[in-house]
Amino acid sequence: METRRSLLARGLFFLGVAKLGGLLGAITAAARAVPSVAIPFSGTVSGGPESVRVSGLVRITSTLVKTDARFNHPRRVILAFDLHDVSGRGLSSGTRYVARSRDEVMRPLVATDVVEIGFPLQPKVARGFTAARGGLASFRLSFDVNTGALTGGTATVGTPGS
Amino acid sequence: MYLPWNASRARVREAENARQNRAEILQAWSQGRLSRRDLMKLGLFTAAGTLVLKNGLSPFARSAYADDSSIPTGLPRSPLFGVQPFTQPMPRFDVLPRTPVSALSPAPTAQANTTQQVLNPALEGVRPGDTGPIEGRPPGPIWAHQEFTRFAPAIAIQATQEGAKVNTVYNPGVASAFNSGLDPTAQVRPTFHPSLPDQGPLALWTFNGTLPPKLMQVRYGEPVLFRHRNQLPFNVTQNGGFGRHTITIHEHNGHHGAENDGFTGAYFFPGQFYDYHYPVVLAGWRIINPTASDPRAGGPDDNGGIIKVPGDWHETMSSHWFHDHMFSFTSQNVYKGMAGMFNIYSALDRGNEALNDGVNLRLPSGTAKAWGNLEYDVNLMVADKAWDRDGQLSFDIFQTDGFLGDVMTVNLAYKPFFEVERRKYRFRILNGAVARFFKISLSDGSPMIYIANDGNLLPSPVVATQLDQQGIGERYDIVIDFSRYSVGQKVWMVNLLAHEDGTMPSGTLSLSEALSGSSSDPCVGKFLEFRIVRDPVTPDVSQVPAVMIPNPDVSNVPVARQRNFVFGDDGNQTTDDPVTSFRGPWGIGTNGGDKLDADFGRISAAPHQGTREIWTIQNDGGDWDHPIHIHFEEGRILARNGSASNVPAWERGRKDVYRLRPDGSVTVSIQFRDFAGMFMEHCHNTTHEDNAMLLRWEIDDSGAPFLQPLPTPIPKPQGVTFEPPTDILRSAF
Repeated sequence: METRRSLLARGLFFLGVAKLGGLLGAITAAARAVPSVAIPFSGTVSGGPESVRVSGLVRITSTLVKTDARFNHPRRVILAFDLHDVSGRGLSSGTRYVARSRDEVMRPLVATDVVEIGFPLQPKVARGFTAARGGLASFRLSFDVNTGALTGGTATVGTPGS
Repeated sequence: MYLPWNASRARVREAENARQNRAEILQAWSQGRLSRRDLMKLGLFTAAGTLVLKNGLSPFARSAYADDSSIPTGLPRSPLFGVQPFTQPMPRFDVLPRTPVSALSPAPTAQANTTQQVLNPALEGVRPGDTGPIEGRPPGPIWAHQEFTRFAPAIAIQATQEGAKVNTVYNPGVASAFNSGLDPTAQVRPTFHPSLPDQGPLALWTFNGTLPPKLMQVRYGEPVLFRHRNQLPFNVTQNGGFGRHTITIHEHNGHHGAENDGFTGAYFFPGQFYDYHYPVVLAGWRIINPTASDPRAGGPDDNGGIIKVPGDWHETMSSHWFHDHMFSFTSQNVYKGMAGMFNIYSALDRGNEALNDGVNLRLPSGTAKAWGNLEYDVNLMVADKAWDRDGQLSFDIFQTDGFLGDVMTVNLAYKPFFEVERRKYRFRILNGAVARFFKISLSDGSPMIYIANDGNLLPSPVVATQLDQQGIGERYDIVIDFSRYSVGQKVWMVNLLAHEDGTMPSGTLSLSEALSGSSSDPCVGKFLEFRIVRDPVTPDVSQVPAVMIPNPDVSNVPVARQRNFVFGDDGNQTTDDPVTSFRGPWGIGTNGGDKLDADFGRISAAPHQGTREIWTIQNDGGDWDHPIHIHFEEGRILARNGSASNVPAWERGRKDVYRLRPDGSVTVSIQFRDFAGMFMEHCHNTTHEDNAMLLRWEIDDSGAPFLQPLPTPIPKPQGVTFEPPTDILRSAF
């Protein structure tokens, strides 16, 4: 289910909220009904051949998994992460990078969860995928434990294994 | 579900007692001494066909020794006998020899060879002096090899099904330096690790009775005759407690006649053989590129050229596998070792990275041979296993949600290491588990490149740092570039996906969580160690092209009809045929009808030859996931949950296993061409499949050459008989 607002508009909206509230990526009550949200993230992926400063938006969809009591499964959400407006610039060479990634994880439904997602970062050139390297996005996400909806989130970017 | 290592002795004893009680029942059941109905009368089975939650029996019943009433009895861990992970090399697959067809005796025939032989009276239902056919394939024209003359076998490959024994003829297809230093002359014991006990001949059943698992190398333009000889025990009770000695081999996902598909009801007995004829053709060969003029449609010759074949080059396939498909016993027999892999080489995917003719994609492989080089093209069969106190393979059929092991194996070796050079490698990863899904990452978060999904090269490569969930039977071909590492470094493949039971994964761990060892699931974490041991012996000239195989153009193929299949629990059974009908907790609803338990005598769908249909496959619950396999022809996912945008890039090629996800649905476009007969659609969580989540569909040829509907084969040692379908759904035809 998609919102009708553009991704850019949502991002600007969230950035504005973050500035006002002092909480980057905070999501307003009005947004709670929207299962798909965009969270801005930024940071530096270190390592060779050069460190890369990365920023952009990650769209996250949270879906509550239906459960039947007889299976005694804990309540879970499926989180879909879609990185498609993420770019970077090499701190030494100025090379432009892009990150396009999509991933799904299943997590127990809790009020606050820290989720790490790896993503490939590749030079924005033809066949750049052959020179891709790994980045790491860390999300601190808040949920409505009744509906599974995302109620807030922040994100940072770092280097895997660091 | 498995007890932690620090569980009290009382809890371990309780779990072991329950396990042994289940094993006794399973043994009686698998040997035919108890029926499911008997188990219900004894109060051990529910009406739905599941084990009752009874202490001392069920691993899910409340433990008598736990304070918390929600803590189940659990399962005892498999003993490791002091073995440490990553202390043995990973063996490459064992390449099956290719021989002239003339080496086969008797010579293969279009119709089943019904020459009589005296039967062993240890077979069920056989009296001394009884005779039966030497070939177990159903006799007559319906089960004759289709297009046997047009695609006459050019080579033969033979395998037996046997109990475990030492391998004295292991052929990894590469020199020792490319097989982590394994001595090619050494005998290979039937064990998961040199320091673990050997598997007995009743515990482990494999192709040729040996390890490592077997690999077939075939190519387009070279039809294959694959002869299987069943050399399993004649006595059905000689099964080590689980497994069935009747077998049927499915080539997943071959495009050939149903007589070669390993139909679940076309099984054969010990003492018989079954000839499978694999034409190895491109789908659409009757009408697309019929004169074989397109060099992209072909297979490699022995001199670096191309053997051109008819068909659509967009339908080129690469990574298949083959496994037993015995009705209601697939999970047990596959788990017991009856699974191998099947690499198909083509004009595009030559298995030679140096040949530069404008057609060959030059994927990582090697250069020594014209085709089929394996030095940098590695098959990986990932599977969880469990063993008993004696170290013998064990299985628990009563986990009808799905059996889970607690020990990770790759190529049937416990957590091995694999030596690599600083260059690109292709890995053909098969999820060979019974019920476990995997999600794979490298331990340092480095990227991998998807190049194929379910054996189909993608339109374009997709780079990812963690692969998607991989359901049972799915194959992901990926490329890893080890040039980013230094000699002496190590990196590991890591499983990020935890299970608490066999219904579906319980959760995804982040890489750091998975590496921390904090998961209660023993199969989370590192399972394969890569040791970077040297610079490339020769320059890496392999490529990962930006464009590989675009999807077939079906815009001119009208959609003949749409069908809907709902996979869920609480299936009903409307038939009671003692051979074809089965009751279990799972079922499939077709076109709005009730969910029905499996009956291979029931026809649930019958598409017309030469048509295209849209099938929507739906999961009716959030507590389980089902990887659904549709036999015979590759499909293309049009939508997930009704939207094309939900289809990730790595699923935008062709597929044959469709993971539904909890409450999810998949809409698939699929064609029905070239061959006919009865095929299957089922959940590839083989526990679900064996517990009634399977249906039969057949290609209706409107009267010729096949009559409609087809009679159902009923195999017996004395010969296969036929009976009319037990049921034909009104919406089938």
